Amino acid sequence: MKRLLALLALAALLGGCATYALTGTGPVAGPDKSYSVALPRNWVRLTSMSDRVVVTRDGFALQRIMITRVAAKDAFPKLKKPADDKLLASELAELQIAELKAAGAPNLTVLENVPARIGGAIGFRLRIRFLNNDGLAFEQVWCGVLDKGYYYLISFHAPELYYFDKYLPDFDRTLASFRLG
Amino acid sequence: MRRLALCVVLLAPLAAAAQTYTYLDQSLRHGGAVHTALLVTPDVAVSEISAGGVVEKIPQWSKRATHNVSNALLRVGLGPKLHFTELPALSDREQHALEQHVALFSVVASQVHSNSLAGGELWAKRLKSGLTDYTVGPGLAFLADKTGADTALLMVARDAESSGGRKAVMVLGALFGVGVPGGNAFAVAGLVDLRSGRLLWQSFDSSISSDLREPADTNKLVEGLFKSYPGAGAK
Amino acid sequence: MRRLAAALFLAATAAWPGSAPAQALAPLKGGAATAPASEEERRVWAQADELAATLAKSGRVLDDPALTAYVQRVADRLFPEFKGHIHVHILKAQGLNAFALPNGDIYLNEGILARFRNESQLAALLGHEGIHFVDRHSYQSLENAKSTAALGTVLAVVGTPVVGLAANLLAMSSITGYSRELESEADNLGYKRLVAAGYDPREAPKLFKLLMTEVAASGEKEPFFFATHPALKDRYDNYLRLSKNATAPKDPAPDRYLATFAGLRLASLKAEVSMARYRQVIALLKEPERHGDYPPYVDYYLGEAYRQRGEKGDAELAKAAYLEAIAAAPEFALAHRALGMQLLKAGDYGGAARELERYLALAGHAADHAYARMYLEEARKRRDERGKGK
Repeated sequence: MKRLLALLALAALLGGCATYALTGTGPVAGPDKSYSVALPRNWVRLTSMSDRVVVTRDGFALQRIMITRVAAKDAFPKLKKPADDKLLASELAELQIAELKAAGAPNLTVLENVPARIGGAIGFRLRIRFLNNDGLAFEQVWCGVLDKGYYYLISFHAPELYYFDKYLPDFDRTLASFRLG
Repeated sequence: MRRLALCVVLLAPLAAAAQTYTYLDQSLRHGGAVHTALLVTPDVAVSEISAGGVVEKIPQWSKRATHNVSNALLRVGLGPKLHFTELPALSDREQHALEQHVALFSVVASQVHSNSLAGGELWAKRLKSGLTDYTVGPGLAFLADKTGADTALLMVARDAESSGGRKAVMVLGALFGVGVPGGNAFAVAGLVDLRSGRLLWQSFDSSISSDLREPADTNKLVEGLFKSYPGAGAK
Repeated sequence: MRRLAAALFLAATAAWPGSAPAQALAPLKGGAATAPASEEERRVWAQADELAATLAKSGRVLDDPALTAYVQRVADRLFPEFKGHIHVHILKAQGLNAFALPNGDIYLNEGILARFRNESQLAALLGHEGIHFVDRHSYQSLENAKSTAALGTVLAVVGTPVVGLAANLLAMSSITGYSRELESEADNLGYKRLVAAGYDPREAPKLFKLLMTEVAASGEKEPFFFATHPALKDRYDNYLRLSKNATAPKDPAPDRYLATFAGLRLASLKAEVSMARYRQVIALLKEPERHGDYPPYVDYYLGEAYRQRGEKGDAELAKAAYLEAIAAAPEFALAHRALGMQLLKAGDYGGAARELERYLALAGHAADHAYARMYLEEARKRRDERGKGK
């Protein structure tokens, strides 16, 4: 129950500053029109974070699709390493795994790590699993790609029990719609 | 970090009042059937906050408070609408399955909580729309088979008693593991359908001055929780 | 948040080491008398029990009955009267750390277990930690722990925030250590236990010497077993002094430590590479004695550390390490894959294709063949283009 308690208070604390909007039908453009993506319909988007696209259907801890774009030099802040365009996709994936471990999931398990075409460029697709303090398993998919000096990440997060399998198709459709430039 | 600090300042004045909300699934909105609820052992903790701000759970106080909450649940006059039944002995595997689903309930409940309290108009409308998917999944159906109950009642209650005059209000939950927006004690209860896992009802109440070690205070807090249960008070 | 919390915690507790001596409390008696002496102490043990349960539930504790039984047996040999009260666990965490909770649960990181070379070194550490429990050191420092945790969050060594009094005590013991007096007490009494249990006391200073060397070489800055260089040097000097006239134990049993922990050693190395602990891996494998504790293909991991570190000259060092691994263990598939990818990046497409083909032939149903096949295709294509003079 500890996670509930931490989230209860955090929610009360932060909620007053968050703004939301329903997702519509058309594609959504990223900052500087650097990408476009079609989001699942009638989900809720957190509009108070302008540097990223974050959507959920029932709550960000139950299912969350997120798209971020950062300058390659700032790609791995915990590692204090940039994403170099000479890196192979497999090396980019390695750095992303190390970054996730450093960010609070040192015991995560990598379930899948394969090359993937993201927005037309070659990147990686990772699927990881970790437990929270109550022993509940969460799974995440992280798809990353480097393009013209920027590092793009499209991710999905959900509890393994019930939610992950149910809403993964929504993520995969979103991913398939992602276009660079 | 700055953004967080700003939000704390804005929210602080609002936090003083007690807060409540209720979530009700469509199936319960229009009367709904009689439910038999398995009483999962309530998760109750009473802690003391030292002068240095360290939160220390006190086992004896927590035991007393758990006893008070269990008694308060039995007193709640839900009459024909909701019967409680005790959890039977479970095998290790069954116990593990229950714990996993209770852990998922924590997450589900926290989302209902944050969306209810701080989700604004959009979430308020969405929570009433019947379109949400709040569930622990079908993994607890074995308990329905085993007991004949159709639902399970899950409860969490926390009380933070300060020593040395330190204010317990707004002890930041994310840091201390005690979520107390608006008071020093709160309780959250949720009813889930054992076969589908669907969340049928969730209620939250916080109070500035409850002491869960005292039966009278506990009864009041728990009664407050169940006021919103459909048909509550009907005998 | 972690850095901020740790920094604040450290700032708040900066006065501790060498500060006012703690009140003396009678040590725990052992056997059935091993119990908290007051209501306050009972609360602390209860908190520690909860923390232990959280560590177990959240998958941070290694589930390996054989290895756990091994470390438990050493603890029971050192503290026979506390058998059933001291429980040793292995934490799935890298880094040179170990800690004891007030309730008798002792945790050893995989990272530090991977550094020991024999059972006597493990016993030296467990002897020290066990005294912290038996002599109730964390409870003696309780008032400090309660009053200095202004923000309460302690990330410490377990990887995610754990809160509450027991967590503060845990952080205190593992980040800053106890007062100098209590640490010396743990050294001295732990040493006595080491000798009484028939271990080789000359190993105790060797362990600290190895730790000092590795810390210096890797520039390790994170919180670990002994927070500062002087403290580590103090431990080394103290054990050196204690063991000055020590002799080898009579009829020592054959030491199975290195063999028993071979799997853990390798797993820890892999984990360290995957967590970007490149300096630590390089420092470890550059020591000939340590290098010999690993399988013949271990230079593959050295290569990985260099490659991922990616500093000037590291690409060449990585390539050299992969070649060493292949020379020592030609059938070790991953070294061919790694070399193939280095050659691809360096423009040696023929070489890359050759190594990647070798990898796929050796690895068979390897889970990561998707990358290898993709890079092989690229290498072949570029090799062929080059061959046609494109």
